[in-house]
Amino acid sequence: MSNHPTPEAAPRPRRLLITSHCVLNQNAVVLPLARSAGVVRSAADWAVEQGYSIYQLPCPEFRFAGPQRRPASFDDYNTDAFHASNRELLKGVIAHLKRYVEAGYEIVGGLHVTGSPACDPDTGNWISDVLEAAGEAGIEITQMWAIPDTESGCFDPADPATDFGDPADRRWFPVDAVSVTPEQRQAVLSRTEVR
Amino acid sequence: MMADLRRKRIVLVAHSLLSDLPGAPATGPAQRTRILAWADGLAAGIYQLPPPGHQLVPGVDPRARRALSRGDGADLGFVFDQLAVYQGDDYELLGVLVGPHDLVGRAGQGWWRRVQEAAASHGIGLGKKWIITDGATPVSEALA
Repeated sequence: MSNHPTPEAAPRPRRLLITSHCVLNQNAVVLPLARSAGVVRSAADWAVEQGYSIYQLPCPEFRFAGPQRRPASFDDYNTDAFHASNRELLKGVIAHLKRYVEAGYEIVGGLHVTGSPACDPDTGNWISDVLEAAGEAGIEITQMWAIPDTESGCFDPADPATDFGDPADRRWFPVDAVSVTPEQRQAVLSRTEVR
Repeated sequence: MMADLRRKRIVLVAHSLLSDLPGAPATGPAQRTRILAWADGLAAGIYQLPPPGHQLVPGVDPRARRALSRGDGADLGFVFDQLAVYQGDDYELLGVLVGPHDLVGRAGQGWWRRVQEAAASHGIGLGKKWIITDGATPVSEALA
């Protein structure tokens, strides 16, 4: 008897988790911070055990600065060029997510990486752009989880630190940042548009 | 000083094997766990291929599926752009894992052709093609 999966054999959970790229592919991580050979099993296994479908986001840092990039700070990536690169990258992502939503899927949230200048759920520049683009498309992301900023990167769902919660309640602009705030960037863009 | 554990090995995995797409048979958690373990056994990172357009819509409306499939080339082009950068830095693409339903019918064959074309246009060899034939073990076959 064939064990090929069929819609009848495996009920669709219709719950989609978007993940930072490196949850499945540590090759994208800035040197020398890869915490596994490839997959972060603790986090990926947890996602699968929850019955979530996985949508792996592209890696914005790898796309922007390549594999030999230097470790960077929040300010290093809080630039017009990086945000513009992200917006371009997100066009395809959002188109796919809209298809999922139209087909009745629930976006259960995002699984990201604490301490990353791009993917930290608190302050990451890529996460800001993901949330903004999703919001513009009417896609709500109301829950995030995060791989902790530890040497092993082990994801333990029993650890409250992995459950970030609703980004609308918690995200903040770093107090020690020297780059422009989103409001300042928007103000500059608005002035440019008037001209 | 932290040791970097990457092995510079990548496998491409068809989107539907990690995510139940609206227009494709469901795979389910058990199979996904096996895929994660399989990639782990290869010491490889997973690069999930973008969802094929024809699998993004429920039902069998051929016009809707054809229309969405037109976006496959751009989506795949981005992935192989990235893989070309990886290969330029001595990362290795081990191969591609697909499910049986990914290659079925004209739509599936068309998608696979677009994968091959995108790889070729970026000078990338796809390596092995693994097809999940029994829901458990990836079976390797050499690419023609």
